[in-house]
Amino acid sequence: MKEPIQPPNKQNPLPPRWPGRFLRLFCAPHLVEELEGDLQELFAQRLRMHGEQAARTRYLRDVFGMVRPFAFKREVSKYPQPSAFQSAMIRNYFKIALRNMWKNKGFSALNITGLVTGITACLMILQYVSFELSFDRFHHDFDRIYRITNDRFQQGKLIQHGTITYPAVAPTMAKDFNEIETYTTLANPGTFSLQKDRRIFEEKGAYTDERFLSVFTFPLLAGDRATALKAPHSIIISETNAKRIFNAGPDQYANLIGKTVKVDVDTEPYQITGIMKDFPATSHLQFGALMSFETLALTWGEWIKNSWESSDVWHYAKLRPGTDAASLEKKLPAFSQRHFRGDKVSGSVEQFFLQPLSKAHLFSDYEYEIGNVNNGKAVWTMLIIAAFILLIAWINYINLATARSLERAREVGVRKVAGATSGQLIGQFLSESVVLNALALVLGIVLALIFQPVLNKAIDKPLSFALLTGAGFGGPKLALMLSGVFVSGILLSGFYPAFALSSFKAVQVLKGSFKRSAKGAWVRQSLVIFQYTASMVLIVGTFIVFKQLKFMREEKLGFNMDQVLVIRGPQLTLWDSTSIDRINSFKTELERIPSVQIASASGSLFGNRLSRSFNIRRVGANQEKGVTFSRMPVDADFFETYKIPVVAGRNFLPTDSNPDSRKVTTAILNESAIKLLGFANAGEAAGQKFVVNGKEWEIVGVVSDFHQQSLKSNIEPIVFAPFYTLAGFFSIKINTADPANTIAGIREKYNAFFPGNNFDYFFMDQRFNEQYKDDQTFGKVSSFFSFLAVLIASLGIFGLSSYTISQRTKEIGVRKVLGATTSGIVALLSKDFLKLVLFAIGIGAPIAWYGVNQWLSDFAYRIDIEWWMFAIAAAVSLLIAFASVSFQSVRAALMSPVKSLRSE
Amino acid sequence: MKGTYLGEFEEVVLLAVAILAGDAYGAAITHEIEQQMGRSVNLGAVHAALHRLEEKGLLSSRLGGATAERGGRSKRFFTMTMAGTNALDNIREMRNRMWNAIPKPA
Repeated sequence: MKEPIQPPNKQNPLPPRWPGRFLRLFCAPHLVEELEGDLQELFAQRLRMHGEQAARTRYLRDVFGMVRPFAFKREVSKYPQPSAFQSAMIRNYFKIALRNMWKNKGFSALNITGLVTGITACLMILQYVSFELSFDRFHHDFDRIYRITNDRFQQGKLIQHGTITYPAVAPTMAKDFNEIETYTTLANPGTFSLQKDRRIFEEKGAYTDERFLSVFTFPLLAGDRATALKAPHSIIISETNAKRIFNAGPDQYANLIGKTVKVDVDTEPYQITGIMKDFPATSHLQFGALMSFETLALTWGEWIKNSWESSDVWHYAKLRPGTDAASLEKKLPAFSQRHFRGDKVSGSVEQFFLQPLSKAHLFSDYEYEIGNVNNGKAVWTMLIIAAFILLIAWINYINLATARSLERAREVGVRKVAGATSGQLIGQFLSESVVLNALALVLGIVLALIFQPVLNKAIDKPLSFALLTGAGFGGPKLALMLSGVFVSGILLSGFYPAFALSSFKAVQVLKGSFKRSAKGAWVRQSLVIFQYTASMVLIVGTFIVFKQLKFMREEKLGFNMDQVLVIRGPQLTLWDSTSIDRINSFKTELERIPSVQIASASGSLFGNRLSRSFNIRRVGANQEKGVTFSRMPVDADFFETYKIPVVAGRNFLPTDSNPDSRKVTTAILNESAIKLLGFANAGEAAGQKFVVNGKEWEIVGVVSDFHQQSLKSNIEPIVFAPFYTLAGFFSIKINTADPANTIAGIREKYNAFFPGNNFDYFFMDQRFNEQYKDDQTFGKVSSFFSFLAVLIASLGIFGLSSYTISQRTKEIGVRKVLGATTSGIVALLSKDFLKLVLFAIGIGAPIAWYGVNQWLSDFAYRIDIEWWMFAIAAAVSLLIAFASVSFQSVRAALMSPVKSLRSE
Repeated sequence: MKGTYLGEFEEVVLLAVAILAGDAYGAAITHEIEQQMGRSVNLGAVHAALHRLEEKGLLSSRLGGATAERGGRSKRFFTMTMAGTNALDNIREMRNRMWNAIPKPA
């Protein structure tokens, strides 16, 4: 019947191709043949009758005319499929899943351990991240509240980058710019001694105005929020203080209004005008007492409300709804020019910025910080570690599940022969992984809850699981997002093994000619590479963090603070003309204690930001612009106590001091300071003079430079002056194996000399190292979690290698029979994995380099990143990988070939 | 159960199948209709009608008869079923009745 098919030629052209392709795209497969046949036949016919052009046009019209419902309808199968969701099958899936887990206890344990560790670690870190990111978001309108920050330039150089600024700035801005709805000002934050009935309670507090409670959301439990901070000598105390000072419960708060407490040395008692809730832990401001700003105006002077010259306050402004902060910020340079006229008013060029409240805690690199700050980079690093850990754990799951798929190939074959579709098989394996993952998730949550107290203690933060379920960053949205992440993670980690398994060809599997596909190996290998890249980055990071922390602990600071005990000065004693003699005789008295070597008094201590003096000029040098020094009031024994060498001139003499501070005209500078004044060396500076605020000072001596703050800060130019204050500190160098006894002796003398004050002491080295507390916590926490990540990764490679090696038992047997050595076989088996790890090291090293560079850039004095640090990290990675692999490979290589070759 | 109502185009297609008597397939039917009615017809429309008629049980089909002109592809031959023949007869009868009912001009 069939005529021979003629090849197309010039007389016999074919229809265009692409409409046919289009047809096959939408048309049901079983219809394509007849439709194409009809189309081509009509084309040939029309070609003969109407010519090529017409035939083509009609052909096209016909093809597009096919887009009709009949063409879409797929052929109905003769063998209908039962639904995949039959309860009997689902029960069977779960039964098989549990049996499989039970049968391979080792593998299941490995798998679940990895997942649980990963999920637990991830949840814990996320709590921390959520806590840190949620700072200050409890305020209504937190997104409209900005802090006014202030950069100060002299001769084009940034000399101060502070949150602190001039009192007149915010009121004037509020007048000049309609965008500002309201503002509040804080001043003199610090620790105050609240006194009631001769008992002293130390509490952090600040002076602020009546708008504070309307800018911020700190609820009052008693008192009127509009007026509580209006009158001078008003104070609002927190619930904790109400309990502590008055032993008052919530029902008595109303009665506390009108009661009085004494604050520091102020003779006027403060009247309680409000009881406020304790500030939430997520507030960057942490105060237990707020005192009215008008009080300061009385005691310090009116300038605290309107000065353009002394910068001693912090301003927070609330913008009107819908205001664009960036465009308001653009108007601030003109504001500065208008009111500060370059550097004519305050001595430096002032620049103002609006810092969003939400950045005050994590992303604030300002000096004179009023609040609780943390390093945003550290928080993001933790988030990245959390993501890595979770990814590594899921990758482990994928790797182990696919590697084991060979064992289950027969099961897949039999199921397929019995009529299972790949959809059903995917469903089966997916449900297996969902079971395993869900189990791990539940265990992870339980473990995270169990370890909560341990974590909170380690990092000293009030974390809770609620931070993830709505109480933290993002509110309930975070909970939704996290469940989204976990659900999709569980599904995705289940998908790959499920597809890999269900795609096995039944015939091949059952015939026994089935081999693991190269494609699957490629995926597994890249996953191992990813895991080890992450591990490499974390190992390098941990290593460098520790190195830097060690460096900071051990770096010579330029002064000696071993066994220096510091006691707080008698703040509650009033200053009078005899105070200096009193302080000196107290020191002499202290030195009578045998274990006390020397005692000294100073107005401030190392480790804190020092106050600054601006516009200092050298006499006789005709300098046009002044320079800026930090300043420190110290007595004659201070340098001896801290073993700071005087390199030129002399130390202070007792006669340099004077109860009348105007008569003090001697100063000692450090080397940085004399360099800034333009002296070539210390000897040249001694005996010279400088001027500040119209008063001449003689440089009697020069001391060597030292790190007055942590190694995050630069060494500053410092001027020391022989001032005494009662609100300062006594540094006491002791030399004893029994400090408790010495402290008791000191306390006795302190109480005799300064009755009515709290005896409060600490060791200087501990206090100084507290500057690294956040870094140390970060180091501890990140190293622990990095360790977990590496552990999970090695669990993975352990499982994977044990699996591949068990697949090669026969090969190993044959090799041994033919004379291979044990070491040769171990090398052979380890080589494949070590190659991957080497590759991962190559990728991980530059990423790690970038990361640690970022972290180190926060430190003014830091270790250099050197190649051998990477080499060590690489060696560690390789060693861990080799150890996990060789555990299996050595066993396999030692196995007698008789055993492995006997079967079959 | 699909109704046995026939659309105008369906009727034409059914008639063409009857005319071609055993040699009726998509292209031939299209060609036949074009010849008879003197207007161009879309192949897709013809196939859609054929599918509907087959679903209604008025036509039956089988595959076969590839030719070179079709690039060696099979044709689907349509034949009238008894129901199809009856349907055409019914229509014709009804039309005749209606024609007869037209009053003759005096």
